[in-house]
Amino acid sequence: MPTIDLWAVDGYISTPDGKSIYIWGFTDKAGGSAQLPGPTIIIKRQDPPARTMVTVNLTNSLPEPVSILFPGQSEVRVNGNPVQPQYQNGSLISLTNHCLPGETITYTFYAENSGTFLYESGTNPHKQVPMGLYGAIIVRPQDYMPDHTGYKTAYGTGTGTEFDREYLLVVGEIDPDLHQAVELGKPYDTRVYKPRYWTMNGRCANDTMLPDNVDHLPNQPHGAMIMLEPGEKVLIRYAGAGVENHPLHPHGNHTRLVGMDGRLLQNRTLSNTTDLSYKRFTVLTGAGQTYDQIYTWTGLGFEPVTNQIPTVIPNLRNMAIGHTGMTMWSGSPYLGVKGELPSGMVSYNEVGEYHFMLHSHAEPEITNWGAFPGGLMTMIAVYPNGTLERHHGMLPVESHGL
Amino acid sequence: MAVITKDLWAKKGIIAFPDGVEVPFWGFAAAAGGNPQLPGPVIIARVGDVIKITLRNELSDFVSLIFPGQDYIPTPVKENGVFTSYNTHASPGGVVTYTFTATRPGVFLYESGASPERQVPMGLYGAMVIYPPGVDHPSDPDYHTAYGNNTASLYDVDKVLILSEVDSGFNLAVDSGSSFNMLDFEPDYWLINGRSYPFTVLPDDVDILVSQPLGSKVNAAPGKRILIRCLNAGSQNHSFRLEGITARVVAVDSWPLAAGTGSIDATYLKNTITIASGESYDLLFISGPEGQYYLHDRDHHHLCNAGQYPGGMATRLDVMQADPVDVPVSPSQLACSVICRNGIRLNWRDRAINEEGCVVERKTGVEDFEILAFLTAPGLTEYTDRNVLPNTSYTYRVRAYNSKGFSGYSNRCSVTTHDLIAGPANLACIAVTANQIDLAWTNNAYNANGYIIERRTAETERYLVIAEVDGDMTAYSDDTVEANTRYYYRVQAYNSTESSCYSNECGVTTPAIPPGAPEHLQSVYISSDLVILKWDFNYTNKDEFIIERKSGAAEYNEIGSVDKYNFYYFDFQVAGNTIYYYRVRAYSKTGGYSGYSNEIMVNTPA
Amino acid sequence: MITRIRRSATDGWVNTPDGRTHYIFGFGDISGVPENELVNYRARAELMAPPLLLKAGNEYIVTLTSLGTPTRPDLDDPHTIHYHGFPNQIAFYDGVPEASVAVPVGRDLEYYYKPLDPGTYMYHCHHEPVEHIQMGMVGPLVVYPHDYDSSDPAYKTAYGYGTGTEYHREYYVFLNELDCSIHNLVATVQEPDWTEYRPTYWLINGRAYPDTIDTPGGSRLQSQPWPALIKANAGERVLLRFVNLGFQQHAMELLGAVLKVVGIDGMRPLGQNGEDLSYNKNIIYIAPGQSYDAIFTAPEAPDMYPLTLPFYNRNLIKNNSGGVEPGGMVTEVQIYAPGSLPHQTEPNQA
Ligand SMILES: [Cu+2]
Ligand SMILES: [Cu+2]
Repeated sequence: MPTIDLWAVDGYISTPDGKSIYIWGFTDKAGGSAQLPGPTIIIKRQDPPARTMVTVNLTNSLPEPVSILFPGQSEVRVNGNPVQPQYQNGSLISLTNHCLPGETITYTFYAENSGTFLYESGTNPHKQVPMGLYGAIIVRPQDYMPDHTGYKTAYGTGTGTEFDREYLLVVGEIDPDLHQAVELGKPYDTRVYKPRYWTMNGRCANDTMLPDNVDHLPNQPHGAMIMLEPGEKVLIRYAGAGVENHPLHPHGNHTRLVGMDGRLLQNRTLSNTTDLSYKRFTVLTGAGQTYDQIYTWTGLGFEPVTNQIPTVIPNLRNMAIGHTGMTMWSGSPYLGVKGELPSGMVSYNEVGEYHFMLHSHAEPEITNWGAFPGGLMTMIAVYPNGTLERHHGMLPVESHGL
Repeated sequence: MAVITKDLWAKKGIIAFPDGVEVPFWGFAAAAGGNPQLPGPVIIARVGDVIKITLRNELSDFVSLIFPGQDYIPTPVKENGVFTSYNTHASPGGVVTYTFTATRPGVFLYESGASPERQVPMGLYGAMVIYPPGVDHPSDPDYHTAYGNNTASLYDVDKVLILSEVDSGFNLAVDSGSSFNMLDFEPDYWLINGRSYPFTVLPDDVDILVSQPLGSKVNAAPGKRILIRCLNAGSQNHSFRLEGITARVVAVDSWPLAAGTGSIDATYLKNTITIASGESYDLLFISGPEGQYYLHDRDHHHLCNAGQYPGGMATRLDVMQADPVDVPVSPSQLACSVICRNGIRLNWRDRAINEEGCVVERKTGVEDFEILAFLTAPGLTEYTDRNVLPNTSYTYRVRAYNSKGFSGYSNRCSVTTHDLIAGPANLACIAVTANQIDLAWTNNAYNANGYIIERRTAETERYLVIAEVDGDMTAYSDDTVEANTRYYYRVQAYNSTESSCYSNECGVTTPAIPPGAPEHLQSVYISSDLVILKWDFNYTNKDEFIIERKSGAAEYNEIGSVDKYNFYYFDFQVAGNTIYYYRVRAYSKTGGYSGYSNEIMVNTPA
Repeated sequence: MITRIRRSATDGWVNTPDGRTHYIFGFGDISGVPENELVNYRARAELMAPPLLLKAGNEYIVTLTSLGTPTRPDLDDPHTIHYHGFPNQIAFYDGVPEASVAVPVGRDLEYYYKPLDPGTYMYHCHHEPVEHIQMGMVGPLVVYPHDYDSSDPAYKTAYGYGTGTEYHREYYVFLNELDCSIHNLVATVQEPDWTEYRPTYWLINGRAYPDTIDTPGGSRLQSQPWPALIKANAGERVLLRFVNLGFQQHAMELLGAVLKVVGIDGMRPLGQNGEDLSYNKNIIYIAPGQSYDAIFTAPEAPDMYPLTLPFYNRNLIKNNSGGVEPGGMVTEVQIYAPGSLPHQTEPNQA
């Protein structure tokens, strides 16, 4: 049965505009710093009738009580008893059992449903969740087999949720004044909450497009770049960990929304299945909610010899390309072709892949403290067939072992 | 088919928040002379009923009602081509009657259509619940369903939760007729059924909330089908979380997602649902094991009252085997005592087994009792009132509550704080020398005759009085201290009748005194390969002696040391026919180095 | 056959009911305008941008010509057209400057579209999108089904014959907001802090109430040619094409009629087995970058014609213009006795 050791600790994250922001967060490494978001917990369900019990040991190294809520999970318990809200001097402090500074608490729950879930602090949540005490849980169906066609699914074989690659995007907001107040031990009035940064997997654009585990972002280990080849099915899991709702819009295609809050959008009876999934081009990622979607891109069939684009490509020297001398573009309208860009232009394009933006359409959220580009933005890169390494978009079957 | 007749009086009133703030609002009263209510009185009907609402306007603005979601054509009122009301209005002092037939089941708002941008946030809204016709008849297929047979809406317990917000500054301005720029609207309270947490978990119709009669706590036994009917009357969108629960969304805007035989089952499961302004969601689930489950806004900043957690848009489901059949037994043996620096400590005996929490009330002198605190946990027997003034009489009483209502009050207890209660504060102490510590404090007492200064040398020791000073003093020098010792002090004010609380404790360590310099250094033996030095024997406050030597014009070098019980030093490292100079000093770990002894000159023979 | 459409990118001014004027960037329709007359279209940006009306299966080339911003001659921002929601787009026609090409002042770019999926979409400039969207470079884009026929009731549909989306009349409900202090900063060559975005006007089809119901418009509203007055004969089916290109979520409420959602984000809501997931709503809750197609049946109420149904944002505190109410996203639906209004031949025709 999976057992996850988490520590609630503090630490710092960096923003692309050079700020260092104090956070509270979770780590799964003894002595580690807070990670934003907390470590992703991936669980594969047991074959029924066995139940998948998950154990989470939380050790609190912060100066006040901390707890973890597991919305959407079954039978969440502490010491064998159902979790309960906690009070101090008769006043609510935690929505679930907490652990005091220096102590350890053990939660257990049954992972009864596949899908994407949040875990987040239930103690002083107006402060602790925005400070960073949140993370995501992925539960895989019991028949999940990543190397078997039809069995690499979000919700089980036969549910229409097959995918080739998967990406998790945990979104949040940051008001640096809250973080500074907590760092200095000063009071903070939630009425003045005003986010200045928006994070995708703990990073603000353009850091979202960097790979996982880059050296200069030690506490923000996860990138948010989405990579696929034409025709591949990509499972994109949105998790809204902030307190606001964010309309996330991928260019290039609609997504089919197949599950929310870790529940398949399907009603099944013995004789009948009603599929409730449908396609969206902008999914409002609500606070505390998750959205599982399938995205794919097949293109329009243009290619340089037999099916040229029907418009004239202007002289690129006369056009505006990229930002401050840099572009993600190949210089060619064709997938897999690298064209000639005006001299002096630096292209980050590798093999003629297409880049489509995925971003919040509440556009002030794609800034870092008001300066575009930043915030809730990343790119979807469509690589020519056979050029994208297999490991991209491959999350492990399980994160913390049996 | 019945005719449901409802008279509503639009009028001004006051709503209260748990932090003690009271705010004017406009609302609908259910009776002439009654208090307006937030939200307005719930109107309950069955499909097919004729609903006839008579609005009596006791405000000084036009007021009207609109009925979103009903099969009802409004008749808007315009002035210069611009809406003044979305439906026929009642002039100040006037009356208007609206009549329509309830054609479909669900939870709906009724709300003001006159200047709704202001009047709805001011409180002119309420809920209408329309049930299928057979909802009350056990033999009817619609029995205990929200939307009729085959709509996946069968319930055991249903509860309407009306979400909204209040910007207290807006309410104050609009009520007093002052200007308010709507661009500045920023809520500071978030409400369910007109109350902010923890008022939300109090029972209905509590005497302290005359205009907020609706609690929102749900009680149910395990295994029951609970239907939560969330209706957003506010101007913001809220993400509502059912903590520890995954519910089935069975209707949105009162359109069932499984709309009866022959239509598809489009119900789905969620644990958090974003509910836009004006929307409604019917959420059905089966109650789990016994315990408390919070139902709350997942925008945690809305779990605050005026910026302070906990509060706001939160309420609770209590799953218990049996609903309380009676109000709790009242608490007893309430006792109160002054606790220095902490205020007043209350203790009582909890005699109830079915209470959900209790309310502590306080009054000063002859004033009325006011609510001091809502304690939202059962089984409590103490509370500390940290907000008291000097020289004031307080009387307390406590009562418990559950969903059936309040218990009787406990006995009262009274206590008078003395006028010295605050006592001196900010005590600071500085060791000026090894033998003097200066104390300073601030005077919080109005009429101290003097101060008692107490001291101890270790945290484990008892304090002893070392001095008394006059009441106009705020400083003292203690010159009875020893070097290199840690002292703790506290100060207490007194007058002819009583003593104050102690000040804070301060601690300081005196610096050590350097050891005395050795004296009378002399050489007692001199040869070509040995010099013996001797000095006066005195080991007090010393750990060792350090011997230094030089020859000629060179610098002194440390050549050796002996412990404090020695007063001889044997220098074997000498050459013949050389002039040496010697000096000695003492060293102690706490006091450092002493001065040097006298210097002597030794001339070794060849 | 390829249909050619041309859009200008330039600047201009819009008006709000409180008498104030606001600087915008925007698009204009310059289809068929001779090259030597283009100069006359400078500073004539429109809000909302001229709708792009396409038909599924047909081919289009939309040329974007940047005419510059006469009020901000210093500004050398390029522009693009992003066809928001076009499935399987290639990067070159997607209008994202960081991943393709943008159009500097005095230049053109051709975008080719062969839309295959009917529905309600939107287009906007994607250069520094937070600024260029807020400044007004936003408009609706409608793809009619390939079998669309305005003269045949069975074929005048949102999603094609037999999809249950027949309508008699269609109207745009194009939503966005305007923060006047940001527009002033841009007009006076200053940098806004976008995290301080705080709208002062809430617009339907580029206008705030009561300009929304001002059908003659007049010269004061010449850059805002789209009223939001909705008219129908009793019993007719009216298609509302909701688009939100503001930065806030809105909750539009229509009194006296039920809205049936038949399209979301340019698609019929259909399950994987073809389940028809269309549904009834009282409130259309719409986030930035979303679109909804909703049809209501104009209620019949003999002896009461014309009926007036208020149609407004249920986020009531936004229904003001610069703090003065009523204003904002408020308009009305007027319903006439059957047969009173002639057949509608173009969208938004009132
Ligand atoms: Cu975009
Ligand atoms: Cu867009």
